Amino acid sequence: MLRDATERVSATSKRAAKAATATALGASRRAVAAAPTVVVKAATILEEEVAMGLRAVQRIEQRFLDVDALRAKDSDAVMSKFRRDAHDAVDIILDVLTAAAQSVGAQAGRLVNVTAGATPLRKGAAPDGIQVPALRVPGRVTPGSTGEIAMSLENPGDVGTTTFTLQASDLVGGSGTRIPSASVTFNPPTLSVGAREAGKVSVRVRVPDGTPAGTYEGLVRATELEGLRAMLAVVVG
Amino acid sequence: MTARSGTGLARQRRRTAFVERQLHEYRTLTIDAMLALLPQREPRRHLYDLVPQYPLRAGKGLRPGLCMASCAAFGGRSEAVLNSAVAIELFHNAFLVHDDVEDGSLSRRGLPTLPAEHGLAIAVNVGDAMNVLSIEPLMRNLQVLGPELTWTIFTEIQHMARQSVEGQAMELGWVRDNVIDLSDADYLRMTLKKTCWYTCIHPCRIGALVASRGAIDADRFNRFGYFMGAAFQIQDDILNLVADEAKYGKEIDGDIWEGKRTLMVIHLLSSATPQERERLRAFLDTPRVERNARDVAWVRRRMDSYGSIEYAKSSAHDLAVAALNEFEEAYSEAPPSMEKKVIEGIVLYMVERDL
Repeated sequence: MLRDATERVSATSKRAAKAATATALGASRRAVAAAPTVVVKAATILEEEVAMGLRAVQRIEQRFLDVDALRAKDSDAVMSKFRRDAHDAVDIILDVLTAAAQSVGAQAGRLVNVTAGATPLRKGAAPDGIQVPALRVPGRVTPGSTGEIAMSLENPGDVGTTTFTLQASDLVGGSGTRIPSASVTFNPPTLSVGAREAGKVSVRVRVPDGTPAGTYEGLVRATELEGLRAMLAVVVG
Repeated sequence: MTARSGTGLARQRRRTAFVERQLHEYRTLTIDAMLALLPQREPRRHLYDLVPQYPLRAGKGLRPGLCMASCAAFGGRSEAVLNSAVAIELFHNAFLVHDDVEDGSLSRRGLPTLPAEHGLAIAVNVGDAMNVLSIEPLMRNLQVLGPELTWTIFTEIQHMARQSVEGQAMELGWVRDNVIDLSDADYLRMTLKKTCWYTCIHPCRIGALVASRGAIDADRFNRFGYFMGAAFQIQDDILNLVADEAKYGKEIDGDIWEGKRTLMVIHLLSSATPQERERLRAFLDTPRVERNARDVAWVRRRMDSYGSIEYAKSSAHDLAVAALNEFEEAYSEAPPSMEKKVIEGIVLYMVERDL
């Protein structure tokens, strides 16, 4: 990351140096091609903070896709409530967040929660309040081709995860036919997610030739991280 | 910051006058709009009469200036962005009031602080009121900008306010826990969160978002705003040590009295001998009311002898230059205009100001 930041600063500096005009700091503009340490440090910190903060807000906004519909459907009601006072303004944000969370859950969103040090589940017990998210490969995948879905791994906890490796079970169809687990690959296959950060993983399912049409489902889990699990589904045909 | 010829100084004075004149215009528009939305009812004496006190004092108007100039630079109307500028200015003044409570400051912009004049409880409540009142112009955005852009601006403000309180918590925590094992990077991160998002980055982002009806990639302003804001904050910390108190409006060396972890203090901590570092640690561990002028003067002398202020000046200069470079990138699609000149001038103005 530091190297990236340095390169970007340097690239920007070169562009700017070319365009530098006769200003009070004109000479200094050219000198910045050396990318002063404080600037490199600042650029790196900004990258980190944006990744943790602003993009997280934007991610939340992306999760509001259904809220856009909500707003469109009943924007007057939402906004009249919004107008009342500060307390209601806070309330409406909470309402929207709740609606978005429910909607995401209901529609089997692609957001998967990871928390370091999650308590292992008791054998046979359903985790309280935890819904297993579903990853549904978009569209239909024909035998012999590959489907792909992006999975967002969000760690809302205060502790970063250990490094974990993603694994999938066989995907089983209604007739008992299986897509072997080796056909499911993850990129990156191994990662860790820092406290209050998110990671992105691409999940690819290669459907073997001759696989009968139908819906195939299996489980995605991670080594060293009991809390991470998601249903993976692909429609063949 | 550097030696200049007579022509250079004259150009600097003209630029300063130009920037100050433009900022004053933006500020007047913003303050007038703010005053118009303040409730005209009781309780006046202990609330609504006090709300405009800080905004009416001689501030620079940097935040509404950046917001409105950015909007205009990208072709937006000032009426479209005025509500957002008012909200930012109200948030800013709420931060100032609470800041003065937290720091126990006695003077602000040449006059007694609200807590010094009206007591802590009243001051805290006035700050709370400013935070609540800032929601009103954001709601008024609905009529001007429509629901989508209103929501976008609301999320910008939400991020801005949250970053500011988190940055403030970092700094307060360092003082409370007497943290001295700090690096430049810690300072830069704290400054990004406490100052830069709300002073520079979000005002620019919001102005351009309003002008483009939400179409612009607002991330393009992040580096520009950060480098400019960090240069501004470091310069502000330097002025706290070297400015003319009558012009500066705050007590000189006030940050040393408060034990603030400025870039100069962090530099001194890393340069000092073990004995000096221990004396500085003990000084910083002493409650503010028990610190004395002799020790404050010692800290200041050590800063001078280790070149801590020069180091900070150099860092501010590097960041200002980087901000100028980023300006060209961030505003490359904005056609030449007076507003664009204002924004570029603000960067230079902030590091050249002597108060």
